[in-house]
Amino acid sequence: MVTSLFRWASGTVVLGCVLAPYLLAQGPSCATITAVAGPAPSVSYEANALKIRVQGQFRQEGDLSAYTATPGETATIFSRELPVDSSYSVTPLTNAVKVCIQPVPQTATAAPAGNQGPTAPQPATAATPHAATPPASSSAGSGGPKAPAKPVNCVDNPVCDIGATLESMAAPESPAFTVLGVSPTEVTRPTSPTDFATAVLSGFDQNGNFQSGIALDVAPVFVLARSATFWSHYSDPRKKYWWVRPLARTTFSFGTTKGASASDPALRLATGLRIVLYDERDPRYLYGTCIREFVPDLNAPVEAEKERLRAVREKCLAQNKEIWNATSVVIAGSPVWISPDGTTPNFRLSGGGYWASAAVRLQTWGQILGHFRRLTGEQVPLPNTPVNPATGLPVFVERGTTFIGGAFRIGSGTFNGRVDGLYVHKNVAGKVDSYPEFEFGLERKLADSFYLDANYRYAVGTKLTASGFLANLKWSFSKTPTIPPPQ
Amino acid sequence: MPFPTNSQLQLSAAGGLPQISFSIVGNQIDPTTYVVGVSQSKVDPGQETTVKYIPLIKSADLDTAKQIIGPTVQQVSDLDGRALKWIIGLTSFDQLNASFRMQVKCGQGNLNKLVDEPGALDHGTEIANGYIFVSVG
Repeated sequence: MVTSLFRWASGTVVLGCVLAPYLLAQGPSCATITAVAGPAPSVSYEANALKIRVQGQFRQEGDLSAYTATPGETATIFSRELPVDSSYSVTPLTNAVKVCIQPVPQTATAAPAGNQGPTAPQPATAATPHAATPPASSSAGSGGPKAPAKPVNCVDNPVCDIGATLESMAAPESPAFTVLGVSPTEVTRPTSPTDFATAVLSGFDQNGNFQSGIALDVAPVFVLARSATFWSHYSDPRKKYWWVRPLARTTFSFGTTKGASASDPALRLATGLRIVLYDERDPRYLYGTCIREFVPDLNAPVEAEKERLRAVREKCLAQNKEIWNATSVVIAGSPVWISPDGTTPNFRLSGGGYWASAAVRLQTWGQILGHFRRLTGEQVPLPNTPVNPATGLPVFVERGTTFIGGAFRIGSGTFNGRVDGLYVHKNVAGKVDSYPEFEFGLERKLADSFYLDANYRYAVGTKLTASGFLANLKWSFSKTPTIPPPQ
Repeated sequence: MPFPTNSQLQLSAAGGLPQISFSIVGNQIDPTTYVVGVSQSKVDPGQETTVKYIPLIKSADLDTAKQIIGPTVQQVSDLDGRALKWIIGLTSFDQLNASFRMQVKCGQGNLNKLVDEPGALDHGTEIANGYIFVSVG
């Protein structure tokens, strides 16, 4: 009995000693700096160091033992390095800031990094080839359950979903809405090309600011040239009418947004143009090609011919099948104008977006894809910088990105494969970064509605050791194929 | 029911065989192949619907002049007193009642507009057709 009690006690002590550092480390280490006379202190993250600047006299509370205080002529700076696998939060108070450091659970460290916003905690991952990512900042009180992982765009983070990024780089349906950051789903799509699609926008943009405005989407030539005879050549295979389809499928989008909050009073305006130069999947072209084969009978009753034509029309509509590896070429562009203070005299050109997407069909078994995208003047949260303590919003800076991506895909009834590659060049507030990405994927049909997927992401500069290979290899089972097999 | 249309074509015996061209005004019309035929014999007005027609032209090339030539028609005098019949199917991929104008031009050298008829699709289809009575002088 005494022995058992002793064993229990010693076990408890040992367990307590082992767990104590871990348990103690779980609690946040907080410090509060209050400016006595000057403005509220500011917090920044630079060169892997967290810095608190305070002007004039101040009052300090909490644990500041890890900070180094450097008195300056205009301000005193408290700085400290952040350990790996830690994050920090900043709580703006009345003329003060409260900064807390806390460890990040290991499960979160393995998760892919998300957007660098205040609501997307992003742990440091020293193992990644581009380890410039800082520990995350987060607003106080936002420590709820993490959102489910979504595909990470390679423009935002080198550790990313290459396939999803390539898909998102295709020329958008309404480039003006895309560059303004408003969702195209908020706009009623036209049911026919002669219709205007308009919508009154109201909602939050991607940066969390409330926006209101108007969006318009129209195929202008359909509206302005209704009396032209060239429309009947839409499906004409002759070369001299090659221009009819691109002209008919050229759409113009126009959008304005006006920030409704003090943090974003800007008025933005974008005009977009999207031209489908060629599209093998064009359903109207496929229908028109089919219906042209109908030859009326001169000597048959007209009503009988009309019935026959209706039957052929139904057949042609039904035959309009999807081509999984269709050839297509699409270009789009949308300049953006901005008035920072919301007044029309102060409108100025502020970058824009330009896209080109092309696909080449390889008979029934393959496809080669290429995408180019250039975005300039994009407002993004400044990396490595916490939110502005005064407004609680991230500090936004200008970003320009150039994206070039390509893919090769093969598809058969039982086997699919793909090779994706892309190159990202970006300039964020004058800091240039560029990197390539590659991914290989194979998919094998094991049974009906049961596929085995395997993907390997190759990071340039990574040594191809066995452990490195396994770390980048992902596999899973799926009920649907990644690439639709040929019909 | 704007179709069939009836029109007259006066040709010169000294001229060559006439040409014909079809156009459709309307931005959501998908046409079929058109056919132009000639009556087997001379036709009196009112009898054009009862006689048989010999196909001369089958084409999907709109806005392109095609010469009226073929079986029983080798020179302009072969057309004197006979009727030409044209027929084309009009449909739309996504519109059931789209409106259009059917235009037919015909002549020796310069093509004169013989038909400019408005119409609308009926449940996505229409058979546009007409007769051209030819006289050669």
